[in-house]
Amino acid sequence: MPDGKAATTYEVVGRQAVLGRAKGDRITSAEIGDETQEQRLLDSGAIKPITPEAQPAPTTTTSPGTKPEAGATPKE
Amino acid sequence: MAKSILREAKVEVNGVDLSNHVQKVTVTKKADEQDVTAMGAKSKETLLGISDDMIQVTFYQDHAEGSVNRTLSPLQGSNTPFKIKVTHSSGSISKTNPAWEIEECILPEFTPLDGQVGSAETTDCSFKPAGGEGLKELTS
Repeated sequence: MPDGKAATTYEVVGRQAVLGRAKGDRITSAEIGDETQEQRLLDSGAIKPITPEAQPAPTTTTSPGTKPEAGATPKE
Repeated sequence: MAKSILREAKVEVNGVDLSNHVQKVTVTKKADEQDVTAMGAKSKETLLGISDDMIQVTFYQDHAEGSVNRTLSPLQGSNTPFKIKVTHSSGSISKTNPAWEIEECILPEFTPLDGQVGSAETTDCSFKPAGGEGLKELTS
């Protein structure tokens, strides 16, 4: 897996076992190891993604200093 | 070693275990024969040329998600290789339970629909090496 890409966890959902995992088991992209194989398994419906790992939820904090200063008047 | 009845051969294509849809599997190790007979010979002289191995499988067709058709159809017609592995029986690979593998194979032809009324739907597939090391026999 190339650097910078988050690992994805999949669930085996197809009728057939995938890489030794039965239906309902989980497997990660790192365990699959090959992006083409991973995409083919996804396309065939053998696996489906559960939750991407190492992807923090976006934060909603505002950075200081973005508010207009008190008393400032907009230019015309 | 006792005579053997084939009951539990394991067939994995692109990581998907399709064993429970396999009717028949054939692993063929073969090499081209080159005739190099020269003047003065009293019998033909033959040398082996390039290997021409393959794994042939007859699957019972299944159109469900992740099963036979959905696994094999995208593999046909692509030059991006995938792996096929056939193990003689379930259990660990050993000298008495060998496996055969084509690490980089292709599927030149695939018949998604083949059958007649009232018959089991099957599809015959020939998996061929796409270069690389060809067919390997694994004993461990």
